[in-house]
Amino acid sequence: MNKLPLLLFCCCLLCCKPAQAEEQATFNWQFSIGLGLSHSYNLLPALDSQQNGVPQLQLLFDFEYRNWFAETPSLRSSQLFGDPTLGYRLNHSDKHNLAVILATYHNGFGPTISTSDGIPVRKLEGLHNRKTDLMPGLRYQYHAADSQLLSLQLSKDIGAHHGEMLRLFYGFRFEQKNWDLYFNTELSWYSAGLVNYYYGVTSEEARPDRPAYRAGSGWRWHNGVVSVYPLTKQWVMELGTGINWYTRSFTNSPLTRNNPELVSFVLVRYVF
Amino acid sequence: MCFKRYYVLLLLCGSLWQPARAEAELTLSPSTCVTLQQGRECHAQIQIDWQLAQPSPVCLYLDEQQLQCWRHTITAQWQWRFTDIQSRQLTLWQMTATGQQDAALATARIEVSWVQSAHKKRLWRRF
Repeated sequence: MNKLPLLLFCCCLLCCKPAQAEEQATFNWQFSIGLGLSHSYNLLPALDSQQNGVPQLQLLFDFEYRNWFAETPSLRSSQLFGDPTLGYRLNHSDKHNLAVILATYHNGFGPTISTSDGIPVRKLEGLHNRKTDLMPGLRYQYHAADSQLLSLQLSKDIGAHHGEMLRLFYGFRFEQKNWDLYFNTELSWYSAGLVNYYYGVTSEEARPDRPAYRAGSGWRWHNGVVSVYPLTKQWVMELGTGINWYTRSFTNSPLTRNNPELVSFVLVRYVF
Repeated sequence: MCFKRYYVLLLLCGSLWQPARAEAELTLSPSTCVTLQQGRECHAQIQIDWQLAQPSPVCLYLDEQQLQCWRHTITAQWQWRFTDIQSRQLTLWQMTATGQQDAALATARIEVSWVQSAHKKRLWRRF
């Protein structure tokens, strides 16, 4: 039963061999190395990045070959190489894009998992390890005039919690002289299985200062601004800040703090 | 040895035959403008400095477009807002009394370049 999403993913690739999709035989790629500083005020206090304010190296690699593609989220902090989204376009035009995608969205944490990330184990003592998820899904994107992006995505985990996620994203790109300014907003719904897996506290995990908690489904609302500025032909500067609000199923957990969650970064990137 | 003497003589004559045209120096700072993607307008605030050996009426041109003129000035600084999708050339012209172009005194070029060529897909920046 749990393998169903993966099977669906594979079936889509095999059965939906695109009749309409125009395959581009050329291999398009973009690779860059960034050096930057980030700061996060995480919903989980234990996950406040230990690398806040410490210079970090980031790699970004995106490619397109025929209908296959990979997108690296360039703005995740504390990671040398952000978890890429792999995908296959089922239908593709200038404006519309329907794709099967595969990505991870929630990093695992726990007493042993977090040690390697430099997170103090003391805060997580007595918890079971939460695994990083792996969520295949279906994504529809609509590009309007190269300056607006609307995206609707449905994903289901196949490895950790078997929960579902639904995301509605809208972004607007605004050109101000040589700057690119991206204003993004995203509303996400998470199933009870997903929220409870990461933010629930079982009776075995409960302590005097950590009561047991069973979470229901919940929502997250993200708003972010990212600006990009060309310094030279090879170097760009990126600045970004984001704020996330969560519903009570998240914030009522003894593992979390109150809203909002804040993330910000500044980096310079060498583009090959 | 004999050739060298003639060469020096030629250089000397050459320099003596040019005094009618005012020597000029034209500098731009910055002289490059970088945009994120090819084909997009590049914006830059450029400081233009020029100086002449002797006062003269001069005008600054962007190709055929007259940008600014000065009357009998020996040096000037001027701030100019550049906006274009391609490299352009500026020319400092010596003007006649009737306001016609007389002689090109100096040229300088603004190079427009870009991080990403036009055919590459622009990645959406987000968290």
